[in-house]
Amino acid sequence: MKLKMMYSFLNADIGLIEKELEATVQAEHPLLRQAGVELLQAGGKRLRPVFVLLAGKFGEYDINRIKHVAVALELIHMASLVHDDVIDNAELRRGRQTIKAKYDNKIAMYTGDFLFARALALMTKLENPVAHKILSHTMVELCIGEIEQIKDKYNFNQDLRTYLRRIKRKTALLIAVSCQLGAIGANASEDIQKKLYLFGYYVGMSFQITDDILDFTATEEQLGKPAGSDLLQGNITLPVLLALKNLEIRESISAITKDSTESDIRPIIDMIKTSSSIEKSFELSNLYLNKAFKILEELPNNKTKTALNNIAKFIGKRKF
Amino acid sequence: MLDINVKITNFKKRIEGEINHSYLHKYLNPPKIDEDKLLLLYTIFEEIEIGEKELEHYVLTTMLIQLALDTHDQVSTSPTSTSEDLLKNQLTVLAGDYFSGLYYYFLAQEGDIPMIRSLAEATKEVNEHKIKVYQCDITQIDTLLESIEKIESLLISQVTQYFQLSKWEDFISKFLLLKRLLHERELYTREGVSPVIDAFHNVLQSQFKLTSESFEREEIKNKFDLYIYDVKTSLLQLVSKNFKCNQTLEVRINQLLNCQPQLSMKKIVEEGS
Repeated sequence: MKLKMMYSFLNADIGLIEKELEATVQAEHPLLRQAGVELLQAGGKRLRPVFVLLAGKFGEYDINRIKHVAVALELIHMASLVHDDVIDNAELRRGRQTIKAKYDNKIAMYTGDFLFARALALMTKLENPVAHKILSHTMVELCIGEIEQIKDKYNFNQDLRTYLRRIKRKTALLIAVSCQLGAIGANASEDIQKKLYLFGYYVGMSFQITDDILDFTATEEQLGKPAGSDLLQGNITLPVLLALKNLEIRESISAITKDSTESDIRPIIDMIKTSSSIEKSFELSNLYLNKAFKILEELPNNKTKTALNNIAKFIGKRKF
Repeated sequence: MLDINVKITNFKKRIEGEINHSYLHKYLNPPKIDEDKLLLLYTIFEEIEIGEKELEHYVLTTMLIQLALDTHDQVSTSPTSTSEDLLKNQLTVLAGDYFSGLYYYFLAQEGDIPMIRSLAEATKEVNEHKIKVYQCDITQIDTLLESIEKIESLLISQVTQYFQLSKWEDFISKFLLLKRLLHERELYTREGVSPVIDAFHNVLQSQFKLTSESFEREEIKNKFDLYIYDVKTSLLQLVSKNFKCNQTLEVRINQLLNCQPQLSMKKIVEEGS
């Protein structure tokens, strides 16, 4: 089943979110407007807005209230991707030229800052201080996660705990908070808010681990960027961490430096792909997914719960 | 009561403490905290009854978002030659994002949603103007100056509006515009490049429909000086009319007004003809 089919009962509201996103990226300056529109056209799973809306269904769902949270979270995600592409010096994202590649670093910085400001302005339509405390804390954690990622590059002695804390900050928190804020925006009970936060957190962890696996196993066409980019940039992801336990592979991986080229890395990627580390990474991803399913069991039975269940399954099985 | 200079020095330390991150600190120069903006914020708050803690909350958060935007201006567009340059550029992006996150965090901790909105709206507009100037697609000098003015003053203007201290707005705008123009002039003299003077040159070219080689550097600088003189005149007019402020700001205004270029009336008449 396609991802969108899993929440087809939300189609009208997702359509509205898409329109709101389009309206929100409209800037006065044509280039800024164009950059925003191109980012939207590049697509993406819109996971965060979907989670906001689905979580909202566990409370007093009001699309006119909750849409601000959904749009704000997608804008924050978009802004962080635009800045990430500057950090990674990335030419392509989702098979399209990045803002920094099409224009330059400065335009990417201003576009990201503009989108972030739009997101916050929109978010203030939800006049709930708790929601802002949660989101602002997440924003700071997200930045710390990104800084830690750079700090840990080429550090082949890092442990699993470091990796997990990093992906929590980098990815899982924003997904967890999307679920939590959806529930808060719909005045769901604190217990439901907490459960949905945990669901999002577990799904987010699984999502990032899968992403890290796909960087090795998917094709360039599927990824929309060269395969093995993470390792080439010195990012030690779960498959690498686990492969480091094999002494033979460890020797090759440890020889990677900032000066290593794509052709230097290629044989190491092949070694990792054929090692047991990919399978073991999937196992950890599944562990998180199972925790997500378990939390769902504690939520009331309805079609939203089924949708969340299916999305979690999709995330575990996705190929790109 | 503490002297305003002492307050500013102490507050700078507080900001430095709040934004301190060991890894960023290891590789990046400490961000430059604009003391004039601090002075302006402290000065406008002298007008209203506001507790020390509340005052610090507004000054801190306004300065944090200002630092975030200023830091992102430092992100390089040139291809990075060494891995250290690359690392610095990457961390500059993240430092700006981090400061921006902190501004939101501190306001959210106080439940100050209206101020989150005000500063976010200002940030949005500042970035619109930054792109206009950076893209050099402005065709009128007045529009260029207006964009520079907004880039420099919009955040503080939001604070003045929020506290209904709008009478400070014109002064703050002209003060900060003058400061920026003087800075750009100095940059142009010292290093031969200034993004603002490049945009200024571009406007002159489009107005006179000339090629890029048409203006000599000195000629551009002289023309730019005329506009600096105009802004100085506007600022002088504003402070001559029943304007009251603390002595520290008064000294600073005089410093800016007496900065180079000191244009003679004869030269102005000649240039203007």
